[in-house]
Amino acid sequence: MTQDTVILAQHLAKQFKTQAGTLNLFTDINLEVNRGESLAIIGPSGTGKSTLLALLAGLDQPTSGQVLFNGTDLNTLDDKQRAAFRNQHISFVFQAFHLLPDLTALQNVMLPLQIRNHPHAEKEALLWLDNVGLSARTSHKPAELSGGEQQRVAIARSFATQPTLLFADEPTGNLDENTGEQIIQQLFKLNQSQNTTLILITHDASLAARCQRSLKLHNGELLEITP
Amino acid sequence: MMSRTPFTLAAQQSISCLKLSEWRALIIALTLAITIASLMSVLGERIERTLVRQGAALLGADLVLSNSRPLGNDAIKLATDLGLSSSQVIQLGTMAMRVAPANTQKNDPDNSNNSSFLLVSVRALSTPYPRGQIELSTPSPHSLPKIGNVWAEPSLLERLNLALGDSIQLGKQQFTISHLIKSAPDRGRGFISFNPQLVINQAQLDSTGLLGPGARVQYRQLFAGKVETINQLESTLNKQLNTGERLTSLTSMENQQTGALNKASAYLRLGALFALLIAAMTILLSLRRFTQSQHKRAALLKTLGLSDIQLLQLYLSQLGLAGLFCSLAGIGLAVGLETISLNLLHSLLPQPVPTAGLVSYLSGPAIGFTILFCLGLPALFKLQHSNPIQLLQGEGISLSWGNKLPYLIALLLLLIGTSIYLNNLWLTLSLTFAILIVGSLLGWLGAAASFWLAKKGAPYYRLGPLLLSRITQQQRWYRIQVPVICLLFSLLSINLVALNDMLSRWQAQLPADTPNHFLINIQDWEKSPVEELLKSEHIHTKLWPIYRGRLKEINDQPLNLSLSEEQQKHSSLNRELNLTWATQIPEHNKLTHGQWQEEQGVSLEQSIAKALDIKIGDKLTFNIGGVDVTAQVSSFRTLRWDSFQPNFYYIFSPRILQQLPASYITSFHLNDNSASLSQKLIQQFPTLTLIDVRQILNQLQQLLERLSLLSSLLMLLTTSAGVVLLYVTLTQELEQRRYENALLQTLGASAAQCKQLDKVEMGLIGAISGFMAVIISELSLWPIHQQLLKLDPVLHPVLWVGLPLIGSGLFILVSWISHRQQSLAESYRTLIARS
Repeated sequence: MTQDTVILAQHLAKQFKTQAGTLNLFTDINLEVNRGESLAIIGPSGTGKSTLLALLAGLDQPTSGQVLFNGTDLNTLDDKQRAAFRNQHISFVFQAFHLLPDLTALQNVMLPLQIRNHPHAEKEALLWLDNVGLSARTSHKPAELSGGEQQRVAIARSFATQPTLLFADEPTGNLDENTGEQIIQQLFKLNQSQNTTLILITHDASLAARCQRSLKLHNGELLEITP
Repeated sequence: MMSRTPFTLAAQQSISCLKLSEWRALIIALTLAITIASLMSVLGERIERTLVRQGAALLGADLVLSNSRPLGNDAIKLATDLGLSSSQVIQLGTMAMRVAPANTQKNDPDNSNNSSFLLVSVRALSTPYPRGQIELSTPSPHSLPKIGNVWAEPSLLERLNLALGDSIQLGKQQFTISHLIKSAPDRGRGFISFNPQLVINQAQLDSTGLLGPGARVQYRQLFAGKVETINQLESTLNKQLNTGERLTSLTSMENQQTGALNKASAYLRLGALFALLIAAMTILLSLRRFTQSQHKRAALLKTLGLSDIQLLQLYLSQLGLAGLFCSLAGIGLAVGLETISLNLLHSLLPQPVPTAGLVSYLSGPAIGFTILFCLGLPALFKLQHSNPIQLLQGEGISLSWGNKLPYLIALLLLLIGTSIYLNNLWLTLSLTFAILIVGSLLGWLGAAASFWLAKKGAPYYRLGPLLLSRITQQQRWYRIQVPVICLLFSLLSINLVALNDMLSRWQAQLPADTPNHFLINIQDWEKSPVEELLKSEHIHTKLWPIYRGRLKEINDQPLNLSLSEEQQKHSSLNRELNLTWATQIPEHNKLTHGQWQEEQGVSLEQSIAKALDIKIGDKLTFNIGGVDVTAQVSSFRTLRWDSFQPNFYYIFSPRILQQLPASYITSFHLNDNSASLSQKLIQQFPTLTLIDVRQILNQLQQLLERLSLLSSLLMLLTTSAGVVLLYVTLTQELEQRRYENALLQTLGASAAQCKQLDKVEMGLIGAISGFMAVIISELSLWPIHQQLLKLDPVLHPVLWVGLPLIGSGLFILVSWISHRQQSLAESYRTLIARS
């Protein structure tokens, strides 16, 4: 573990109890991610990519092993501390955008800032919408925006809180190729300019190849793919 | 074997579905609907049967013809011709004189030093009562008192200090008290029933000499027999009634007696109808969610070879089983609540209360099945058309209502079913539409208020925008939740507050020295000594002279010419009224028209003048004890009945009545330690009747408390139905709520903040419902106070604080029960699943 290490996962195991018995999703996963790094986790569906992401983001707890964030074991935090940790350091971009349909683009971007009690939520949100090229669409509701625009609002929302870590779960899964490409470019650009650590979950190998590192989750093991 | 499959599956599904909240809600709502319907039906029938039976017993017959003058033989002949049984009763008020025990004063019955008097009511019977019987404390071999004997109520013995076997003098005859009366029919109503009652043999009445001029006698001819024949006699007699004659049938008596009970029953019916509507709404929504949850299963069963018909059979059987279970549970609950209710009413209803028929118990299941199948069938037909392709394509099933026509037909069928149950189409339709219209209006108002408040409050609350978003999405559910809870709260609070105010504020509003005792039947010769006795006890009160008379002519025209047929039925014309004279208008009266006339006038109570269309200056002729008295109307007055002072419809100028013989009446206030004065009064003046108003009020209070407790019990059932509906509406968009909370958590909100958002939303909607209930309650209580209770309307701060708080609490509690917070991991999976 170096000074630059943001996330260090050690011997992570996750079991699920099912009617058929205990299901071991993975038993010993180790991962180190550095500040500003972009990392892709690939693998077919059902291998546990999203579960791994939930563990790394402190949304779920491992059956055994630990996740250290900046040297702090997430397991040792209580619910409130974990919420504060997510609040301060983590953002998500989802495949399905997950914008609230009754709020405008501006209100959607303002939401995480308001949760954080940001004193200038509106100003900050406007700035980020401008950054993703949507300053003309601030008062539109999600239904009035195209898929690509919706995802750009979601990206603006995720960067607005200036997170240390950005998790992107299949961010282009619901978009056509061209729009997806634009979104990815925007994501990488902001990632670099903000020095954010990006953990990207995808099953698209070409997208993964654009990250600095690629890992494959297969049969419960996380393997480094050398370019 | 194949044909049994749907039923076997249905039995399995009925049980396994219990883990679905919507199926549980359906079971609870249906059970409540059946309980309420059965209970109302059974209670209604049992109370009604009691009243009818009690009516016949009170009357002593099926039909009674009465007059203050001897009745002719026409009616008896007619009844005999029709094959009805008939008997005659003569009732009169008179003095009973105690005859000193035989060993001391045997031969000196007139020795007034050793005898006391008491005003009694004597009934002379020729044959036993055709309906009901006189119950004696020790059985008698004879159905009537023997010649020389009298049957007496215990109060006569107590007040005259006599024992069984002692003698009393009635008129010229001496009687031995042979038996004590425990209960008797035909006891009479009004003040006469306060007097101790005696029963003698009619054969001995003439020899008493009591039937002389001026005697206060009522002659009654009692008839009993088959209903149709009685009705025939009643209609014939009605056509040929002589002046002063009056026909009383069970129905006409019930109308007088059960007026209040009819109102209470209408009120309870409203409660039952409201509860049934709520339950139907709950069942409809539960079925909607249930159908949705069963779509995949239905599609799967189809792929496994179940035909459309079998699928329909399966779900019909499942509903049928649910209906059967709920019927048993509902009837069981209804029987339990019936026992509790009748225990509450135990002291008010004559025992034993007749049992209800099986039909009443089964009316609950009947209405339950009607609701279930009327609302269930459209949903089941939709389920039957589940398409297996949807399953293969993994398509979600949208929560749509589909074609509205089947629901409209279902609603109509339901209304017809409910009308049959309530036995009143008009009441059902008007109440249902009234409730639906008021409900829609309240729902619209409540939803709009929630939106407005959330919009105004959003800038000041961290999660404000999200709250606004939530409230925008949930508007249609608020339109159900707000009116249901609001109307429930309103009904409950009106019920409780009106009663509480009536009991506490009304008495508190009366001045402390409001009279609580009436002293009546003070004879002319007793006036001065009674006044002196009262004065010695520091009671200063006016003794009002009373003359009993009947209005005979208006402007020299007999009543049948001067009044319309409707006016001639006015209650003040069918009996002798208490008339009085006064030099000044009584303090508790208020002059509204004309001048108080000290010389030759009569002053009328305003409402009677209006009813009989009498004007200032009209000439009224009264018959008072055979003497005609005429006076000109000089003024109108209003009375205050709650003054507890003697009140009179007609007050004459002194000169007109002064020369006629009068008795006197007065009222005064006695403190709690009034027993000694009461005793003195009764001992010194045994013919007086002292009425303690507090006892009457206590009885009234008990009656009201019992009735209110009963209605609260029934309201509690309706409230439970409302809470289940609230629960069902809150679970309708459970997924949406869970999704939003999940998203919020990934955006950095803590679980506590998510909970807080739920609480703020629920608290706001609950508070709005409560607040609207306060407004409705206060608006309804205002006229109830002013018109019905005659109280000065006031606002009820307890409601203003209490109802919004209880509303918030209830919504938060039910929401907490209906959806547990998801764990973070579950939240995240919810989000991923939507991708």
